[in-house]
Amino acid sequence: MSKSSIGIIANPAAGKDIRRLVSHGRVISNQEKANILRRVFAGIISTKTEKLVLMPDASGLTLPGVNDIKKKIKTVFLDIPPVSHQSGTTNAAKMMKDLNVGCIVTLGGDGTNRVVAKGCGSVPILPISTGTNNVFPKMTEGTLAGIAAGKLATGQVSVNDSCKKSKKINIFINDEFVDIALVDVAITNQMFLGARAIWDPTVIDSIFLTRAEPLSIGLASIGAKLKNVAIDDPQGLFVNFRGKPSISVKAPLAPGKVHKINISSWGDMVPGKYYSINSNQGTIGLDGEREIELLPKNEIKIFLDLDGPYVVDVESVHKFIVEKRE
Amino acid sequence: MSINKETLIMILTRMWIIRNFELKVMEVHSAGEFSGAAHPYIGEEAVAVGACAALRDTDYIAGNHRSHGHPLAKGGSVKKAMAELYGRVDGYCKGKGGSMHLADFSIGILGESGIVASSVPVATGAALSAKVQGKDFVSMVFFGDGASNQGACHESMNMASVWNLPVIFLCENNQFAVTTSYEETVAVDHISDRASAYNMPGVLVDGQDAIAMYEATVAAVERARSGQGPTLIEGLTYRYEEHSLGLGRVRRGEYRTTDQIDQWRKRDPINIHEEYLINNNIASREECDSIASDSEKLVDEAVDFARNSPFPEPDELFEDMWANPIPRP
Repeated sequence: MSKSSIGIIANPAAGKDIRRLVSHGRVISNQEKANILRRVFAGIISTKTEKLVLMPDASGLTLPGVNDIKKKIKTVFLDIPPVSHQSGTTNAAKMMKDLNVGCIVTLGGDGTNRVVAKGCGSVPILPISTGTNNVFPKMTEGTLAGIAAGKLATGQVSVNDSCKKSKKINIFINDEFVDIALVDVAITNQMFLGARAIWDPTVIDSIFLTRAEPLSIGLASIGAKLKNVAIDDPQGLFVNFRGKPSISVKAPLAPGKVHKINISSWGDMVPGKYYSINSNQGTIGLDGEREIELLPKNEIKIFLDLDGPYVVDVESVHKFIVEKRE
Repeated sequence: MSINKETLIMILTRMWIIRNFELKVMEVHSAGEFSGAAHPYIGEEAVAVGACAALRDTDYIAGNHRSHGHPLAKGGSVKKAMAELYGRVDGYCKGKGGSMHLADFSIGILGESGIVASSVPVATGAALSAKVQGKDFVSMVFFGDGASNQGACHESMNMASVWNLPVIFLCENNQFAVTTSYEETVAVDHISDRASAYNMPGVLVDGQDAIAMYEATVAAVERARSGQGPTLIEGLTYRYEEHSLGLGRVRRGEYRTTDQIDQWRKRDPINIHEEYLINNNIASREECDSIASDSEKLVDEAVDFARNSPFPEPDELFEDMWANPIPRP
């Protein structure tokens, strides 16, 4: 497949969890997600990109946009059943990588991008936020995002000029790799996966962060009150909450929820080192959602990996285009 | 939020009671022991049990035609429920209501109804009574994806939001209204999306996970009890069996595949909960099996109880009604 093709992965279930009830999580209807995609597609078409490769989803989010543009660009749906779970999304990202798409535009939250990152390899991700606590994806206007994706896919900008290399945290159970996080890993004493989202600071024992930026919300906001760690800085942060407090910060753990949080210790999380999780009861949250039960029989280790996915910086692309013209 | 062991075990116990109750109902109904429609709740147990675990006895529930799981999840009597299905005087409505009319006001069960969406305004009215009386009870209504399209449902949600009523609208989206897929009849992707139109929170929950249902309902109840108004929860679930017993003569086309049913059976709510209890050393395999067999015995005893209870007398037919339509001589 030509390089001037772009993958599209949109998650219809993003932004619908319990945080609409326990905090003031925003609501983005699937109708609006479909409209965002229409804008993305319009932007892409303006760049002479030759093809869109789309993940079929159970809600048909891409269909209205595809109807708009099918005479203007070739559109191909992956030959898989409509995706309704995480592994399906990872598989779709792998298929797009194998088809040599120039980048993958995602609609979702940190969780959506986590499962895309597990499959996309070195294909850059352009993440548009439609989730709740989003650090990895940005609130980006769809048309501008589409143009940026097209400029990259058609070779008008290079990966070096348009993308940042992000990090990830690898999770191992009994020395076997099981999962990744793109932004944060939380060790909680909450004994069940339940409604999955993490919003209550009293249940968190410690967190590990790949990044902590001033405008972060969610768990990364705690780290951001201690030290600025950018997406491509060569270290992360760890923060412990149990034990005698040494410092306290106020941080927005969820939309509309600012908590005073006592911190017992914190420091840099360095790449190449395995961090053991001493707790054996509770759950591990990945990118804000409880994903793994901590069972007595399991030994958990985590590892900061600097080889995370490339992320398209939409603003950099548009700046580069103007500067190139000048 | 934490959940104590007692609650976690109670959740498993009630799910097993419902499962075995429904399996027994299918058995005795097909043997002709009683007639009429009955709608098996098998596969959906986590929705009602997880949600009702978050309620007090003084909180109210109202339900629909798939009517056995809700009262049993609220702690209703297995014997009285079974006797009602058999149409016997020891049943919840003295044998005059049948499967779709199980009510026990003493523990907040306002009753079920075969009229689709008709319980939604009933529960909304109960919530209004809490507000008018200055009481702190809440009400919760179970309705399906089909009912979510009914005017009564929309009117109730609007009224509950306008008046800030302590009601939880719990849509059990089992994805089929009899044989019609919700994907073909509901204009939004998720029924919880409709909440924003009524200015209330809407949450999509894994309806196969009783703890997830419990956690979401605890938050919704807390919100309702503290005067912050209604919530719409959508529990995404699936019924394993056909829409109803007793409708064998109704001709249906293929409306779902065996593969789809099998996929949902792999996420069985009882298995999910048992696996959680065992993995976390909360209960052993033997304890879980014992809960299952105890519930089976409880149901067997309920059937014996029902079989030995007499039918109501014909002249009792118009007793216990709000108004007697046939004046006595």
